[in-house]
Amino acid sequence: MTLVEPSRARTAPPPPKAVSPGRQVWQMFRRNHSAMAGLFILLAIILISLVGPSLYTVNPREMVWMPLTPPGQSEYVLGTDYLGRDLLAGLINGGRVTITIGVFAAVLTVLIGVTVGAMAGFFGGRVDNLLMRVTEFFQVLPNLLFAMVVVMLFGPTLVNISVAIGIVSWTSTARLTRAEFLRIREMDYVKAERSIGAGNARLIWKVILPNAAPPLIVVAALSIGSAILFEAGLSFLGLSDPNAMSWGRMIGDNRPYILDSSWGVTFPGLAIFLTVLAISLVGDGLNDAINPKLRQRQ
Amino acid sequence: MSAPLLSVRDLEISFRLGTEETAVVRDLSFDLGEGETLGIVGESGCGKSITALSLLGLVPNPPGRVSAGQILFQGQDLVGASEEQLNRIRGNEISMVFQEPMTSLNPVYTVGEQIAETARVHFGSSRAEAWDRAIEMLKLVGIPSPEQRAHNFPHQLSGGMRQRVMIAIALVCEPKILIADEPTTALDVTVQAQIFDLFRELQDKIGAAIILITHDIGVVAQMTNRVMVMYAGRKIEEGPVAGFIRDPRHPYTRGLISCIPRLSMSPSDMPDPLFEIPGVVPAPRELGAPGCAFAPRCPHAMQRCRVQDPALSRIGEGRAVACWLEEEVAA
Amino acid sequence: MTALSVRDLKVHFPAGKGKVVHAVDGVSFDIPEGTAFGLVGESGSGKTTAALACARLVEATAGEVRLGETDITTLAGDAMRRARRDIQVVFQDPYASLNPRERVGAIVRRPLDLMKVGTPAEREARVDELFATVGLRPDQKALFPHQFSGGQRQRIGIARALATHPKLIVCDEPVSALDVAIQAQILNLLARLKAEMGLSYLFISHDLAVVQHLCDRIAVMYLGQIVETGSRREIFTSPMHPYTMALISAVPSPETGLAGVERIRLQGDPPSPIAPPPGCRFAGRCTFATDHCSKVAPVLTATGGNHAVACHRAQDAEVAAARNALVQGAPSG
Repeated sequence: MTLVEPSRARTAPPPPKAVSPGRQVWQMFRRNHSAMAGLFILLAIILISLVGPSLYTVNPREMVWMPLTPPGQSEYVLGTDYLGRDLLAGLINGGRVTITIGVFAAVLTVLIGVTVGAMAGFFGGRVDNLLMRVTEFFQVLPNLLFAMVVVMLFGPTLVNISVAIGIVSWTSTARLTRAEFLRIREMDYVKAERSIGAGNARLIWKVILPNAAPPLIVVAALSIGSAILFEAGLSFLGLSDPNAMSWGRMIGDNRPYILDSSWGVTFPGLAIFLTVLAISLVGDGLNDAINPKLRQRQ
Repeated sequence: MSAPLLSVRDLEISFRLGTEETAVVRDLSFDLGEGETLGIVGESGCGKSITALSLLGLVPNPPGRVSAGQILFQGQDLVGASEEQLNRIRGNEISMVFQEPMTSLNPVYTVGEQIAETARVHFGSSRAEAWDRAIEMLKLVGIPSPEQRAHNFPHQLSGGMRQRVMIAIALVCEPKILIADEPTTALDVTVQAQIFDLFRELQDKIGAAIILITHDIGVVAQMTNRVMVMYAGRKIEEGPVAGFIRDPRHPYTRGLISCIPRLSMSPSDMPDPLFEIPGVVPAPRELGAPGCAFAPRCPHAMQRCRVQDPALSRIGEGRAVACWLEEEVAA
Repeated sequence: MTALSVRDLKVHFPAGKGKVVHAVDGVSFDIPEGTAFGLVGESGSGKTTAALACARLVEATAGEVRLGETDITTLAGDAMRRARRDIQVVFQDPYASLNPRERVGAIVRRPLDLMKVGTPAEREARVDELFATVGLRPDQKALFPHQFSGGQRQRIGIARALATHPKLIVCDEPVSALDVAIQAQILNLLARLKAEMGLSYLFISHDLAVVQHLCDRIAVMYLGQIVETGSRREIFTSPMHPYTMALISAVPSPETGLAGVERIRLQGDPPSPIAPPPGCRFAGRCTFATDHCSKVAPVLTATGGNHAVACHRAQDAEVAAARNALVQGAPSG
């Protein structure tokens, strides 16, 4: 009866390895084919924008050939625009500006949105009321009009354009952050942190925010895409930095000649489309990868 | 004895976990007679809730499916039944009460509308008739001033009242079988007592058979005629309730019964430590391993237990147990 | 020595439209050092709110909570943070009380970090020691909460509460979310820690059997007030309040269940804590209530020993008969 000899079956499983929530999300993400495709496209675009200009050294601002040359009819494979500038050089150089504006505006969106939402959700009561009225004010402003006014008042520089986009886009992030904070601040682990002497600053930034982060990351990723579209819109209306080449500005510049040279707007349009699509795919993939985790946590 | 109302034969329910399919319920057979109350006892993850869902054809698919066996309700096999056939049986013949009454009621309809809707679908009665029936059901389950309460939304009722409403919905079509999955776990003891009184009264009135899923041995003793203990997806002990409580045979059952603190009317000043079942239930991934699933936690485990899974063996008066110790005793 | 002394504690919440929820309405009790004090009651009785107010996780509206010599309801800032070393909390839901984004070792170390106890190396050694104390392996420190079972998570929650060597631990339904087999493990762990470390507990539960098993003194709460309090023996050998009797009688136990013992039945639901009735709050559901009961609120009155009850009719023959039937009907153990 005293057979406690370890047999091959029913032995204690080996001690498990630490599986961080972040790594689980990555494993889920990796299995999602369209999200991975989006990620590759996005990385490729970023890589081209970063190293492209030093490999393909044609100056995008100089007249290099006959204006309005169609693609494939000269050494400039994508043709030229109405000033005879190389479209390919424009695309390669414009990516950097477009993506920079997108990222900078998205960072601003997230910074304002998360701060406002976190304060409103954490403190509640009067603070919440005040901040939510401010949020509503910005929500009912006509976005494009307001951004145009800001850019016209302060001048069409890269910084001003990004700031204008950031100022009109943060409201939904603020609402989402507030909702997450309202939910998470009632969790027992927040009470537990309080009971061991954690202050408000720690609770907001170190405890609640990391747990609210998953949906915010998705929104942040997607807001890069919308900021790029917004910048294109502003440029289309002529509000772009005259010293910087961006895809939106290329479309804006070539707009009057759209009937004679469709390629002048098609190629930068395609570049924007591809970038935004890639960002959306990555955002959706992140969302899908994060959500099962959320369900499991409930 | 006549043919049982419900007869489950060699039921196997499998779930896909990643790339592998694992049987979370295996070799499960049991009968339920008319007007009988059967208790199913076990820890979370033992397969008791998924078994209950399978009786209504509600195993979430994918990732789960009934991979073998039969569920015979009045001779009809529910495993291969079409969605249409199942819909006729669900609610009409077999209905279910869940643990959490808040999430099981639709928050945008009044409770009266929800009961009346069920009655209308199943009896094809008119709106007025169905509404009268809803009021009648609310009265039956002991809700005071049912005419007014019928106009309340779920969030306006207390937990106990919501559970009564759930029971009213489950009983409005006078089912032959009521499955109650931890129906009182979310409720206070005094409310729990009221709900169980209600179950017994309704059983007398309608004559329904009840399958009561619970982890509370006290509830089992109070409410059921017969008990079935599940561990890691298998039935490991079964028998009439009195024998089960007074003389549990499986080491796991014995552990379950002696690990709960008992309320005593003459408590000592220094209570003894509670009996402990060491360890935890096996994870779903570990279910396929050979040997008795309880062996790693069992104080009496022998070499044989670790390599060979014991079959269920009869030990008289309707009792059965799946444990090698029984054979040792018999030999 | 008294570990915690609560005097006339009140916690009121605004309920909108100028209404007030009287969640805790004048509760007093003492917890002698090294003992476990159980607060029992059903949902809405205010037991959890009272306990959270004792740990300053909910602000008290009025009253005193003395931890040793200091009234912690008036402390602020650093003084409160220092006081928190002595009073810690174990929460009900082990799935919600651990930050899912932190490794469990860091979770247990956090109180030491925040309260700046010892050097980093000493803190790490203390975490190892705590893991061993609650029955976990130190090599599990690097794992995340979702990799543990419910019982193991509750052990982690207990280790975190023990980190600063507190005098008192508030246990808010620490086993009610666990499987029965796991409940025994956690209850035994809590009993062992109390005996070995001389800890005091304020133990909140709806489960009378659990409270009886672990607590030396018990108070029964109904709608924000204590209706009966006494030692374990006093409460169960001679329950005085009709509500206590109804609670005891409602607990399904294997033996009484089989014997089919007749229970004391309660009708209806508790009244709203927004407008509590003027007299005895239990009068509306009490089978022994008289007109006097619904007009004049009874006060908690000592009946000998540590026993006290708030009931006009506790000594009447009718109630005594029900008490005898209850005590004798149940099996002795």
